[in-house]
Amino acid sequence: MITLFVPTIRDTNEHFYRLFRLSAIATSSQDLISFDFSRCKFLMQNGVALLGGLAKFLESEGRPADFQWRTMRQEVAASLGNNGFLRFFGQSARRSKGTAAEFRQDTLLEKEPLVAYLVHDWIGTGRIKLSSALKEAIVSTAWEIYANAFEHSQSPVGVFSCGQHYPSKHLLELTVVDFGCGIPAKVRAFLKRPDMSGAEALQWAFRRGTTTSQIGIARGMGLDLLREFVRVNRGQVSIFSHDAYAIVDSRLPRRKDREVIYGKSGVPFTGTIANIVFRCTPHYYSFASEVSSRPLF
Amino acid sequence: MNLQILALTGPNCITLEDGQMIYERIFPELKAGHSVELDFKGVKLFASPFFNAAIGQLYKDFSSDDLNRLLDMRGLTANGSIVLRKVGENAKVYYSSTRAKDIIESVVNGQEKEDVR
Repeated sequence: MITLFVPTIRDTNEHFYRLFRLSAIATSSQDLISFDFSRCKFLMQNGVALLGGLAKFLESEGRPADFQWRTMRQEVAASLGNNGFLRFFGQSARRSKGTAAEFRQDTLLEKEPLVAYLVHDWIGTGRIKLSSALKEAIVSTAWEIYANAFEHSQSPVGVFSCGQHYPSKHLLELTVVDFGCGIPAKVRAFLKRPDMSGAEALQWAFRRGTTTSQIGIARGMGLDLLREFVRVNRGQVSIFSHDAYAIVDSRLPRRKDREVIYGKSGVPFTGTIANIVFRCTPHYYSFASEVSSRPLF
Repeated sequence: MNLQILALTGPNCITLEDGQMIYERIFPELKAGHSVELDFKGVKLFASPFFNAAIGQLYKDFSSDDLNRLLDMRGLTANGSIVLRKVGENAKVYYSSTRAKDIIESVVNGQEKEDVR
């Protein structure tokens, strides 16, 4: 058995790379893995989703992970209690109704349970004051991420997610992660371009109308809709897949050629992880004002 | 034909499967030149997989003018209208390029048969 130290994880690029290093070591080893939390001061929702998913992935490979619960700081334990991570992995812990949306694993794309999670747990009934229009737009945009993950990832253990509301910052964040084949590999195989860089592959995937789905129906809207909503909402989305990333950040200076930044990831991740940041103040939403009076078709 | 979508799909029009179900109901009516009204009253969530299947596919066989004339969409939320429009714009491009590709292939195949003779 080898011991891996879980680092402090926030939602910065550098901290995503910490997660990916941890994942790479765990998945490439043949040994059983034990996670030590003594060096972890905080675990944001991206860390929770990936760590939990990694543990289930290792379990699927016949190497169930060990968590050294006693090495956890109290505040980390409290946070993992609130988002249900402790209970998910067999620890008795009460979940308090705070600002966390539970850590969950979905092996099937089931409409009702997932929508209920997004509406009642992630956004929370009454916890955040959102207009109906904004709530609907946020939930349907989040759904596009899940739909993409289930359709394309071929993940052997399904999709993992965790969310968090940051009230003082008026932000709602959601991380969705899978341990599947990754976007670049799928795009390269579909286009028969093994030489394509990961960043180019992500750029292709983000383009409206492009899809590796071959069922003969016009598709390829999910990432484009996500990009568009994040722009309107002035939020952010970061997607890491294999050796590439795509970041839509409305805080960056707006230029037509830089609405999405594509690049080579500092540390590769075999699957795909998407972290979405939504602003939940009313004035950060103008979708309704974009409704056109032109004919619908 | 009038369809109350809420009764068929529930308040969430977000899956490909639900969209395909709606498409299979309305396509024969539209093909026969009958008007179709889709009432989305009570539907809260809309996502592209649903509209890709329910409406986007119609662009294979119908023009925008046909759809504007025959298909009436009522009760869409603001977000629903936006997703529908984007799906429609994408579908128009997809099916027109698919048609162009089919035409080119039939011309090429026809030419190859001529060459063989």
